[in-house]
Amino acid sequence: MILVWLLAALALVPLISLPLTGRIGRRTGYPLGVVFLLIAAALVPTARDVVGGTPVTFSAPWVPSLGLELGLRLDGLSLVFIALALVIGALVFLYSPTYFQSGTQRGFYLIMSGFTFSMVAFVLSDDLVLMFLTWELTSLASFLLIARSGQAGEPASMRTMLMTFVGGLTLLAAVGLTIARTGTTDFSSAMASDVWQSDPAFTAVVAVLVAVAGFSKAAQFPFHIWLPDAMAASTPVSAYLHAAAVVKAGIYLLMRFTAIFHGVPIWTILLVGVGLFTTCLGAWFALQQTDLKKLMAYSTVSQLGLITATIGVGTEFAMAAAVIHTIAHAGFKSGLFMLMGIVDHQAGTRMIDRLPALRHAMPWTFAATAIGLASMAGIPPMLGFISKEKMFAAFLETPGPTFVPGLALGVAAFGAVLTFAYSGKILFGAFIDGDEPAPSVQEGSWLTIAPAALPIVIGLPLAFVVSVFEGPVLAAVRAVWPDYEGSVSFYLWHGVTVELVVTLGVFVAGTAIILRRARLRPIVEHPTFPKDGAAVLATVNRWLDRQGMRLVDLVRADYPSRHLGPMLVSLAVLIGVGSLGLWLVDEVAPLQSGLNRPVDLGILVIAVVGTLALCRTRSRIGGAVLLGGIGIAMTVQIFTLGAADVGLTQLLVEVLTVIVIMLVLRKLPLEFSDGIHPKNRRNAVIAVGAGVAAALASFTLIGRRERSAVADYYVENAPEVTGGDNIVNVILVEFRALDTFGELVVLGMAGIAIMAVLATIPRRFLDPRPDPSPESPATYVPPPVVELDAKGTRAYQALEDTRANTEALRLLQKPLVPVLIGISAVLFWRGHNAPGGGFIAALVAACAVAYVYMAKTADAPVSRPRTPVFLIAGGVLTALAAGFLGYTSGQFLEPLYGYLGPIGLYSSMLFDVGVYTAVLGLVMVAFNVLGTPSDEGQEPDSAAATDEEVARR
Amino acid sequence: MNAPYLPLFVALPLVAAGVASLVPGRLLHRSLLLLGPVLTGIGGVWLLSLHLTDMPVAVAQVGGFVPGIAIPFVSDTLTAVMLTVTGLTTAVVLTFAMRTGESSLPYFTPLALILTGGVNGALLTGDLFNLFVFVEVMLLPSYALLAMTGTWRRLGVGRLFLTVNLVTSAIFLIGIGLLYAAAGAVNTAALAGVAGEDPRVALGASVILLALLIKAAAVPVHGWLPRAYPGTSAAIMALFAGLHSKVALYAIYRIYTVVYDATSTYLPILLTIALASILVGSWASFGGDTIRRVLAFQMVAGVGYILLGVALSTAAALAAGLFYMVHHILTVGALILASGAIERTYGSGNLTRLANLLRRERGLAWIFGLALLSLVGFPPSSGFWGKVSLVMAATQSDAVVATVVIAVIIGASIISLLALQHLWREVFWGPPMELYRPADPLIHEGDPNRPVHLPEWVRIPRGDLVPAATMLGLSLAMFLAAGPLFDIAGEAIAGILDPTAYIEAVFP
Repeated sequence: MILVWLLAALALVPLISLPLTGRIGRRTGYPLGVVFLLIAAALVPTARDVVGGTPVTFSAPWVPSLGLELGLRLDGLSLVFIALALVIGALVFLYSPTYFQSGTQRGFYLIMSGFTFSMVAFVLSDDLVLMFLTWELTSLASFLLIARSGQAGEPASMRTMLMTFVGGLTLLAAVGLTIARTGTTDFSSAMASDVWQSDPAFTAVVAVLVAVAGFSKAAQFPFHIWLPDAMAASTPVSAYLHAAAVVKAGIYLLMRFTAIFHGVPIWTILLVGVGLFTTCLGAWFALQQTDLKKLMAYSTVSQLGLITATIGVGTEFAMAAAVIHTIAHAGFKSGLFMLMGIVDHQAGTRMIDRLPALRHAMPWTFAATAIGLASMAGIPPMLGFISKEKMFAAFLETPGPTFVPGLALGVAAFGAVLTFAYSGKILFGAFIDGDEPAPSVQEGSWLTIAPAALPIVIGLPLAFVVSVFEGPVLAAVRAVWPDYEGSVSFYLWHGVTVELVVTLGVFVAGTAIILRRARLRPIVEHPTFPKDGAAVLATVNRWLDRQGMRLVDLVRADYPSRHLGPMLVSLAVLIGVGSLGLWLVDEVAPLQSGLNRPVDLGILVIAVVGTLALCRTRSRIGGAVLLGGIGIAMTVQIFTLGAADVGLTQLLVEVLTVIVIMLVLRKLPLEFSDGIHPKNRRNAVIAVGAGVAAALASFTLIGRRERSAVADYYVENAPEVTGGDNIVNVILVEFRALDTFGELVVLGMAGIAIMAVLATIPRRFLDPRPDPSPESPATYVPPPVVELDAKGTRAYQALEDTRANTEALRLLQKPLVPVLIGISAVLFWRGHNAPGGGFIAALVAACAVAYVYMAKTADAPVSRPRTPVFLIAGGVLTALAAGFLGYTSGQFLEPLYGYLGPIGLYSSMLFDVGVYTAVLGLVMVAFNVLGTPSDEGQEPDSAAATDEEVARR
Repeated sequence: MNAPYLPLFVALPLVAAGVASLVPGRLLHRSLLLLGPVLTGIGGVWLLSLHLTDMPVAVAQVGGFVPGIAIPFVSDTLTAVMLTVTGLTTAVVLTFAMRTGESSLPYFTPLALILTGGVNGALLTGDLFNLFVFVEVMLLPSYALLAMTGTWRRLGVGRLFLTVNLVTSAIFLIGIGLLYAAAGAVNTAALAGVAGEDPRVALGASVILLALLIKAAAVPVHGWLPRAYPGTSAAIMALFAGLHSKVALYAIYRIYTVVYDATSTYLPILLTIALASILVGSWASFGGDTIRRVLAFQMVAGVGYILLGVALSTAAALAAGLFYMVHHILTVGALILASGAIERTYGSGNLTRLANLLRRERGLAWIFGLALLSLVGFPPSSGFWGKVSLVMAATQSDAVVATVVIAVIIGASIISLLALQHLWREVFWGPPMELYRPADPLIHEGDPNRPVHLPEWVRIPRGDLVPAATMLGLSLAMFLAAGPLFDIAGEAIAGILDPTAYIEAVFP
């Protein structure tokens, strides 16, 4: 439970930081630092138990279906990292108020304390998923900290995020694989699984994934580039990031998983190889820098490489060395960072070339820095000396062929020489070499120096009582090797050993370099490689960008054929290959008899010829006529199959479609703008391919089974169940009334949709204009021109005199319209038993409407503007009413039957009324909106609603 | 089991649509506009509680005919989840449409309500032909909504959207025809497992799946979406993003698990499509010129992630895919609405015209930033669980599949991250913005495309950000409530993987 309290307390810190920064501004660092120290102090009794050998655990379910538990475990290893996070965090907080010169630094305190929380939660996680979650939280926090440090930090923060994101993904993959194979998300149980021994290939894969994850945070090559980048952040952030938080999360991960992977060759090779390479690379880069902060950053990269390599050795002894160096490094590096911050502040620069000799002006800073650097360089009697000696000794245990330990030690020693050299460079560059400083350069405030120097200075006495670390480090080692029976011992002096000899060699070589620094610096201080990491990343980014653009270009088109192409090709491939496959595996059922009729061939020829002609014609009217012709051919086929209802419907729809198309065509040029499109050939191939495939699929699947059970039911039971003899009609309005209802809504609302869309477009954009408008020639469409005889001739009058032309139509209107309406009524009534029904009846009535429209002398609306809306909405509501009526006997749309005297009544008739009015309404909309030239037929208020008005509202 | 009230999910929005077409009145319209989706959402929650306690499947045999003849409306846990999510999403998005004034366009209210009714019908129906009908009911108002709102480009892309969907509908219908020819039924419950056994039925049903994949915008038939959606307004894009592709994906989930019995025969095809969508969508995000076009490509990638659930077809993968779907609806919705808020104040969503919004717009930056983090899968957001659960599901499949899937997810995630970093850099960082394109005619003096000097006081009104913040808040809530939510997703998936209860409910 103490662990939950610990996390709860840490989670509260960011929350209290918000009001605190509001009250006391950037001085919030003091109370927060004290709170961290108090929390650390409160943890001491538990820590004693843990060091004594009893880990503290806690577990509660969180997402059981993913197997995720809120599993926490405090053992020796986590304890070390928690202590670092809290103590260094506290010091950084105490340092910050005087370091920052302005602002409340609300974001800094908020994210920093959130960061500490996620770091502690990470090292406490005993659940693989929780471990990944908190790992991501630390990534996020480090990104935010760097991102908020101004424009210089922005690109750097992006790179940091990318690097840690990559590591996060590989960790996720590792976690996922581990859970899948071991069947548990609990880290301790997963660790104990025997999968790791029985499946070396799997173990190797997970080992690589975990190693990459660890490298990404611990800034190992090639992920090392983010760490110097992160220097853009303010000094307290850097101090914390480098010493105690993100990078240490990477180290922790590698240490934790050593429990599983310590004998795995690839793990050893990766960690030792990459670690040692990074330590030399980092140290070399550090030596090249003239910016103190950048130098420190590369120094961190180098130190982390050393720790990583030591972990890779994979023995208990090496682990102890890695842990003690982690502690030592956290101490001197956090202190050095903060001290460099003071130098930067007081001297106004952190470039070695410009820095004066500060040792007299800033004696305290000088002294503390010197001690810190001594520790980093591994000079006795510093803690850094002890830990580095330990690591050197550990390298002698590196597994592998006999030359490996020696080689590892040699490379590490080379790195140490460079380390020694750059440590000297800092000391001499900042404090000893250079001119005397201006009198304005003064020592920093003790409030700043004290927290900065503390982690360094404390290392000095600790080195003499270094045995206090033995308990905790042993506990940390036992966290990884629970069965470890040996002990851990640290001495300042342990006799003349190989590592001591190596260390002495390092000192000699390092000192030699420092003494020749004036000559060496110009040779060293220029970039080794033509491109730095950021430039490489930028190149990758640009390449990805270009390829991404190509993917966008593939679909960058508003003309439909570009998008229909892939659809139809997919269809053709799917059903073509599928059908052929069925034939090949002989899964095709035998064809039913009596399906082949000569008449179908004739219809096929008509349809094919019509389609071909439609594709070739340039005349829009010709296109409309051909389309109608193809439709009629289909209608004929439907009639020959005996589906009178469907055929009638189809016929009427074809007629009305042609009329509506003609209404639109009047506003368009006579011919299609470009008949020959460059892609036409390809499109033709696609179209023919899709057609052939569809035909093949039809032939393969259709007409090869007995009548379905559903069809049998209709044939046998429809009249009895519904009282109607017309099966098609009762299917439409009773059995599948819901489908019809849906289509009714579609049809009716098509009318409303037309009105809605056109209402948002000013009419001047819709109708052809008398002449091209100068401001928008693109919208100009030349009016269709038909060559006529000269004005005044009889032929001219016959076409242009509308009144005379429509006289005959108007004469016939009087008798014809009532007849049409009568037919419509009859069709409606008989629908239940014979071909007819609401839809067909409405289409006949629509013909009457069309007739009225054409008989007018001018293009005028056929009704008042709102009438179609009433019809459509009324139709939908009527059909719904029929549906609700069904509830009286149990279900929505359940048909009711009754008698009014001798006449049979059906609730489906009400439904049919709805169909009737909605269809009629749609047709009226078409005439009103498309058949009129001006704003007539539109609601006046809506016609002018344009974008600007919408925006204004 | 008998639940005759299910058709009300369709009927009531349509009644409201009818009334709204006839009766004017701003207050009435606004109330109806919200009431439809909100009631749907509440109904969804209610159904969910019902399914999780004592009635796993609810059925209405519409018309009261015998089972198999009547068109069934069926609700199980999956349906209820979808009803809840789509209903609430629609409600939130429509509040944004109200703020922008789009809801006052003529006939907006009936069109939006019909869309709601169509979505509900498509989710509830247990009959594939009826599914086609309700997809049409969804589409018809969508044609109008797409072409009514947004810039002038809406008309060009409206034509594209219309053509693509008409052809898709034709493909859908061909599929139903072939399926009926092969199987002799279109009732989902009657078809259970048939396509898994009979390759002819599988061929017929696969055409339906193709149509649904086009609607969902999966690679290689994805191109229309990033062209069409950014051309309309943010509100409508958010609405479509949450409804259209997701209904199609829902149908794919149901058809593949129930009709195909989740057979492994065709999984390689689905897997290829899913992985290609993930990769292409992520990568193409680089090339987006506006915020919403980047998001449109991210939607393609999202479709891939959701399809991964079916493509692996294990209980864990399907549940992960379902969770991801809900996450994606909320996260992308939040981003689109936030982009809409930007466009409303600054007059453009173009990456090159926007800059340095971080300094001006703290609230927006928080919403946008967190939503982007959710999109790439960082905690504390729904995207984290989406990513984790999918990867964990992938690791449970066989070694080759797991390797390929994880490799693609890792690669695509990195590319996505870089693309979204690019988006963030362009919009929120960089040199201070100097020009903007205000909608206010008093400032732009008649030409809304003319850039005008950006005064210091210009800020996005708080209210414009509320809908986006609500969506984001739900995404963050999903992070905390992942436990119970995954339980529900597990229940929903159990119901389609073993449709016995579903079949017994339809054919008692």
